[in-house]
Amino acid sequence: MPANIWRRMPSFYSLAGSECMKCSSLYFPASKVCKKCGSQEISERVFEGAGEVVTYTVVRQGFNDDSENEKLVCNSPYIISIVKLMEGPMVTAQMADCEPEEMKIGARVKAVFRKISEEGEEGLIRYGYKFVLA
Amino acid sequence: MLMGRVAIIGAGMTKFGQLWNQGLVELAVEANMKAIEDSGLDRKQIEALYIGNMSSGLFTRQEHISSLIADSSGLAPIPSTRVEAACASGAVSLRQAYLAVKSGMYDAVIAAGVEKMTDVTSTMSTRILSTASSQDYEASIGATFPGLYAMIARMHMHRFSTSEEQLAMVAVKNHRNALNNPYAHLRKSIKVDDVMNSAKVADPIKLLDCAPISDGAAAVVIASEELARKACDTPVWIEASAQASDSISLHNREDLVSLKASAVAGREAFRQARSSIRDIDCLELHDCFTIAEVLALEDLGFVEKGKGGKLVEEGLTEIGAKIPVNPSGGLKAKGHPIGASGIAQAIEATMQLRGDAFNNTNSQRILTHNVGGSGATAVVHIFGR
Repeated sequence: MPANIWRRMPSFYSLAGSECMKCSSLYFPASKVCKKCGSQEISERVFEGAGEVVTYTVVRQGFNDDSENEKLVCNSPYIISIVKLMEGPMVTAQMADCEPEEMKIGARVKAVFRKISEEGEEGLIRYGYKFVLA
Repeated sequence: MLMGRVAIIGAGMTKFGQLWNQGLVELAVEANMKAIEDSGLDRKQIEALYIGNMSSGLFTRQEHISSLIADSSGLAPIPSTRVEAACASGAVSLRQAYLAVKSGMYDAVIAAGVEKMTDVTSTMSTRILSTASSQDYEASIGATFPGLYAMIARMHMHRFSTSEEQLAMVAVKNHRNALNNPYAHLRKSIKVDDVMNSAKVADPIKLLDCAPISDGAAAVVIASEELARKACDTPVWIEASAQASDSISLHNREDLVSLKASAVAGREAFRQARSSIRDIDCLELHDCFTIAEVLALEDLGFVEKGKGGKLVEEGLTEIGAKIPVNPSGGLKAKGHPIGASGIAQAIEATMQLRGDAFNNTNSQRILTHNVGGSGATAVVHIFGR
């Protein structure tokens, strides 16, 4: 899915979302229409990547085994978290360099740039954001 | 609205479970034939078919199942429409059928649902089910479906001190209810300890907190008031049919411990039926994971937000108690062939109101609640007799 990844590079690589020019609502991922006021006057807004853990889980049974194409670079168990960014929007992401015992709701985290998945040994590698404890 | 009422006049379903010897089409045909037979109508009186199905393409590599199932059921050339809304496909199919009759266009249609899930490995089905969430921003980074509900559960436990044991009690109750249901996938009594000690799937969700991966089909015949009164002694009236949408991703919701679409659909259903929670005797709720039943009880207003776990612990959702929930066994124990679940809930309501359910609750009015994904679609129906 090269084009699919290419299209989303800004959001995957730099947490680029959007801001409504009318009512200042912020979105991640970017939204072409403001869901609050309906405005289509939207500009890109890159989020800094600092935030805190709203909730999280340790995925013990992932879906790597059967995946013919795209394979996550880390096998289960891995930690998935919903992070509330400092600017307001929330994002779902994997935690990196972190053990389940270290996780707690409210923990401060920051975004890092990591390898997410790869399509076999010779296929495309997808990079993107993960979060680490700050 | 001035249009007449709409009723369920026939119901039929396959057994739910790992049905190795039946494919997608055979399952759907069996349910359709049983529903028509139960209605007493001639099959030539059926004017349209609606089929809820989430993902026949990924599960069985067969699309275009609307006509395939109509034709295989001997119902061609009537129009047949497949309806997809992830795990809410069944209830949305029922709603489309209801609207078609309510509009005056048809006098008799079938609302069906089917899913054939066990032809792929369980890892693959986990992947397929994750297509009900955002591919780009949830599934592709490793958020499985149990993982999403696990994050809701953890938040609920954090905010309201809901315990894992309280969630386990949902599973224990629904397994007990399924013991009497010959159509159920899991007819096995379990204890709280069994749930607590079952394999971890996505903390705090364990294997016995999850509905199983099932094959199955269900169908109901929907009729106009005039035809229903003529053809049937015990029509079950659809008093409300409401549906709401929300963001597909959990992280785009304001509140993670409430499914807003459930609350909105619930309020609209009560408005349509001119009734309130006090008029409802029994519930069939969407319990794909045990936390989902707790959320539904709260979001539909049967208990204050945060008190759902306690309601279950106090036994108030048992058969014979204040508000029986999932007397069929629910998705949790009856089984969850995705597209069929919403229709199977309507069948349980039908049997309860006719008085021929396997666990009779002597109900006058029943509410069913079906959710798609992690809450992006919610459908609420109210049935009366």
